[in-house]
Amino acid sequence: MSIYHKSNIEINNELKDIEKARDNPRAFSVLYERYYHDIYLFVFRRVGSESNTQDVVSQVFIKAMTNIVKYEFRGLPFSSWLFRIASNEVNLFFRKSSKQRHVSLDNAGVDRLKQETTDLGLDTYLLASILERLKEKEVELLELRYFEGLSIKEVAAILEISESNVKVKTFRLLDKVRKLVLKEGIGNNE
Amino acid sequence: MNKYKVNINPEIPSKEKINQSKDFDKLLNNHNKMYKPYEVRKKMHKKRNYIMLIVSVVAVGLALFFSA
Repeated sequence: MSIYHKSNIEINNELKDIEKARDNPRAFSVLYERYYHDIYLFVFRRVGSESNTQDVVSQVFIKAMTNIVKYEFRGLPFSSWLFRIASNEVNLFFRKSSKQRHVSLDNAGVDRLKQETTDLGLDTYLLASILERLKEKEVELLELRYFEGLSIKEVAAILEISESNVKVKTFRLLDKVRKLVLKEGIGNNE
Repeated sequence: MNKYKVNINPEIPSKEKINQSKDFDKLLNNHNKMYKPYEVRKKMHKKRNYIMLIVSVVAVGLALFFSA
């Protein structure tokens, strides 16, 4: 799901698609087709059920279609704007429904996190048990940076914070994960 | 209740299944239901302003005519 690997030609073509979509909502279908799959998976990993995912994804694209007139190109991909809307809609869904937030862990994501915490013997089940002790924003950062493997630049664009802020937050989060893993490890051994 | 429901190696919907949920026409319909009424109200508001302006000019004109 890399959002930055686009050539200048692709970026320029996309800006033309956005301009057309502003003038004519029907032209938004090009952007809808291009990003539907990635937005669907982004939401599904957090919402868990297909029917809820479809509802949230629908809301994401309605908001995008309605607010595309306000979109300004600031050197960040259009997709990062879409993923930001998706992230907000997921949060709104959980605030309204009081359902449990889903967190999807897969081997690839856990392996990425393991590379940063090689000394801990972290595994999927240990990670699943310590997630409960993390705040929502911390889980969101883990998801974007490790479970979905986005770069610092991409994470910064989605969360609307600076890259240095992402680095600082990631550093603090990994420190917290290390302490929780050690604590959990001691607890399990007793 | 725990804050999070952790799904380990969840089954991700296939591309075909995701494509089945796509419906751009429905999206456009929903967008038009929400957005078009606002556009129509904006146009009506503009029209109303023009009408009020014309009525005011006519009223002032009539007042001046009858006062003369």
